[in-house]
Amino acid sequence: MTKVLMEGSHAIAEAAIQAGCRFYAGYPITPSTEILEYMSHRLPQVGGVCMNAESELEAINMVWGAAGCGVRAMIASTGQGISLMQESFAELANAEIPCVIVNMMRGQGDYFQATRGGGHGDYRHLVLAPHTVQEAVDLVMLAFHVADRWRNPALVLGDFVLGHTSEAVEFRPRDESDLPPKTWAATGKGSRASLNVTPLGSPEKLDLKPGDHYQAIAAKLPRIAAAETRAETGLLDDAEVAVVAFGSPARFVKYAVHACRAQGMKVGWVRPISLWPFPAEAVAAAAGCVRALAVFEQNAGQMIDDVRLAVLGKVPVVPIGGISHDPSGFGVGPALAPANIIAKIAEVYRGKAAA
Amino acid sequence: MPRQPATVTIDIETCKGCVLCVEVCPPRVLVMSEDTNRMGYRYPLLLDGCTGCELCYKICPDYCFEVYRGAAA
Amino acid sequence: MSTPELKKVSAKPDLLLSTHHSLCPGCGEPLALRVILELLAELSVAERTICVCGIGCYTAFPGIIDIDVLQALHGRAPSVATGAKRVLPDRFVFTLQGDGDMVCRRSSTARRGARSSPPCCSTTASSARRAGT
Repeated sequence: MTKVLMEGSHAIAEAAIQAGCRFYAGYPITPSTEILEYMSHRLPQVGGVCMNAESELEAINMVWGAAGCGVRAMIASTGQGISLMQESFAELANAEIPCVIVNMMRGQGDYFQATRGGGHGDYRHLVLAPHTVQEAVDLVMLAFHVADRWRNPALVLGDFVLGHTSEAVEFRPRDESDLPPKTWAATGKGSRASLNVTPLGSPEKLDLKPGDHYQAIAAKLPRIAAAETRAETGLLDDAEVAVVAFGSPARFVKYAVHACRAQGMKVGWVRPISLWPFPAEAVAAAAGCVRALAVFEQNAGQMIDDVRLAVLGKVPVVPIGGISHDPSGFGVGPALAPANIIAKIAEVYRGKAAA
Repeated sequence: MPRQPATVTIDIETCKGCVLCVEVCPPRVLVMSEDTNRMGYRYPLLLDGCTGCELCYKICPDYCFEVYRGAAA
Repeated sequence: MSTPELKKVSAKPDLLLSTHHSLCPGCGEPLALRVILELLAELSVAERTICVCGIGCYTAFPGIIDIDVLQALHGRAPSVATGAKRVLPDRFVFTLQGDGDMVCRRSSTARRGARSSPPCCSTTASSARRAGT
């Protein structure tokens, strides 16, 4: 398979197209704008449609329309734009319309927004957090697959660093033969019975049964959790401290862990790849072998809540990250410097850091 | 000129008693009942003299009317 | 009640699956719906029609009309219709919205929908509940 050198945002967009995405709507906002720009010239080449909408609110509803007609559709934004779309996300889940949402974060402050959702009601998105451009390519393609499989929106959580890092990547097609045809989509009734695609109840005419419908959607969530939990662990066999991190910062953490090992510290890592469903078992298993867990995230403490829930007090859980920006405010902050991460891990290792 | 025979059927259980049909009927052959239907609304009753003009069908928000017309006698 | 001499000249539209809806006594919106359904049948486009419904009283309609419906959120129907029309350009796509949904909530969306190419059709059946309209 040929590898091609691509910037992260462009690779994410191309991965979507390779996965069959034929509709994109968006609004320019740093650091997601390059995805819109790439889609604007590349999608028409494959017979797709790219729209620059008046705002994120219109864009997500255009995705609603396209995806509701059975077409693979995507939108990308950053945290502020994702905030504008929350009502639509909640109702896309209720309408069981699959689509892919990409959040190119500024830092990592959108973990709660992604995993809890800022919308109303009992809904969740599948959330996938790549840490390299190749993984972003693979997870975008996976996102379209799992969104269709579960008829639920899937969110890929990237960031500024990922978007602007160039790597040699391969686009590896997935086997999608297990996906059923989209007979639920609104396409004009033709010779079949007419149907509804609606968040307000079941798709049948005449008897929408909203209570049954919402219960059925909520009942999907444990099945999704059982099937779609993903994590990566490393160097845990003899580790005394494990560092939990997600996204691009996890790449810096891995480098720092190797440096700590070279200094004689027995450190390992746990990297959640699915943030919802959160890999609580993998984190709990790590907690079973170490003296402490250190959590590195570029925010005021969000994923650490899920880590603490997984650990349930078994070992101390120590935050070693924090909000960190360069003068642009887009999250490429000094906290990512390996020397800083190594020093923070060492504090935890030597028992000098507070949980 | 002989009037064509005409009549309407009224789905009284679907009626919501808005009285628009009574107001709009040109020969004034619709009157509201004293009884109420299952929903608690009074409903229109048809008197003699319907011309089959279809205005009741057109004005009814609940699609209660079916209009029938024949050839002029 | 019909006799052999009388022929039925008016009845509920074929595309109406049920006359039972939750709109108020005397509401004008079902009259607009009747005209729309009669027109879709007359033009023989029902098989390739996608109706994008707004929120509000209009949520009473998707369950009783025999055409494919995409239910949108309040004020969003023109955006949803744009997405649908862009991916299925040969379908007849129209929105069905109330005055609050189309005018109060997001009139800019409706204006953009009217300018878009290929065009979608937006209809609003206003019950004039809002002073601004």
